[in-house]
Amino acid sequence: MSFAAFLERVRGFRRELVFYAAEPDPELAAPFSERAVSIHHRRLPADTDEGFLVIRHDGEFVSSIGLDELREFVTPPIYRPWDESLASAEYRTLLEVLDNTLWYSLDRRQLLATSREIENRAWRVGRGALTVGFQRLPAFEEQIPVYERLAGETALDVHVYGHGDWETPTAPGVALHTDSGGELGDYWFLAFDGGGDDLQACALLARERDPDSFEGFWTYEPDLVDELQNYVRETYG
Amino acid sequence: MGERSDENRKLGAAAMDELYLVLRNRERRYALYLLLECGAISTEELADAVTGWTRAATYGMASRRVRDQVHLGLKHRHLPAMVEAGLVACDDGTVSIDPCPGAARGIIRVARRQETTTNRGGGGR
Repeated sequence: MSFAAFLERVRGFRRELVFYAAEPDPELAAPFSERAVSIHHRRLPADTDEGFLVIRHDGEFVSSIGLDELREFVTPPIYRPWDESLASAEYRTLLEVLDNTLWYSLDRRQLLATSREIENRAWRVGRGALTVGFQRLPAFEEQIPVYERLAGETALDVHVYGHGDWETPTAPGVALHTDSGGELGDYWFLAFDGGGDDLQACALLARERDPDSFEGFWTYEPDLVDELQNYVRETYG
Repeated sequence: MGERSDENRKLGAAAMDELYLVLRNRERRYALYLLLECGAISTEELADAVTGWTRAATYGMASRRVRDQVHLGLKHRHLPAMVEAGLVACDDGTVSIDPCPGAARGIIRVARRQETTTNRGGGGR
């Protein structure tokens, strides 16, 4: 088992994306890659400016979303996990539509926005296991104020994993695990077990392919979330 | 009739009534808008696209449950109504706009332009 194996499994989910628009928009199709999902474009009449995306799995409709809404994901809002704004509710819906789909080139901002959704969920439930990997120490250092609050003001059991030797004092209540070997430096992940409620379980796993370009997925499937958390605990403590 | 009507040939009064009765329903309108563009499409994809397009304008996203309702509606009510009105033909899981008279296509085209071109102030693209 490995993080790479998790990505391979989601790559094998055979998601098909069909973009319906008067004109194809390369910016919208760019974060997906033909390598990971099959992408098709269908033409809508020239006089229409509402486009939409249909997501299929094994040829069957999974969900659809308007292209204006999808554009929200390309430049997502960044907020704090404890913010309760309307923007976050719409963004959450967007993530639910696009789960279990392997993205080929997320940037750090998109990754952070998706991470915030998971942290927000964990914050709202207030208990359960939150498992996090920020690759390297500097990335975690930026998040320390957020994690201080998550660990300090809820009953969440927070474990952070990273590559290398981290000697810096961490947030109180956060258990820190480091490893000098391979994967942790390359993979960004979050997993929240739902605190006893399967409907709240969620996870994100992404591999840094190139600087600031990540291949990854997020999921709301409790079994997959469990597997990922168990894998991290068993491998890294 | 095996041939396509001349766009200039007027629809009879009864045919006009039937056309407007068909156009009265949003999902039927969007099905016709799509068919006008692609000519023929499978019933399954028609259900997907009508779901995606009608919801894009209003709620943004649509679930499988919504899509299945659209599919049932098309299959049992809307497609039969459109066939009855002489606007489409259904054969073996495929729908085609072939029988649709030219005058009706013109009216559908105008409706499509009016309904599917959005004027969003400020936020838009």
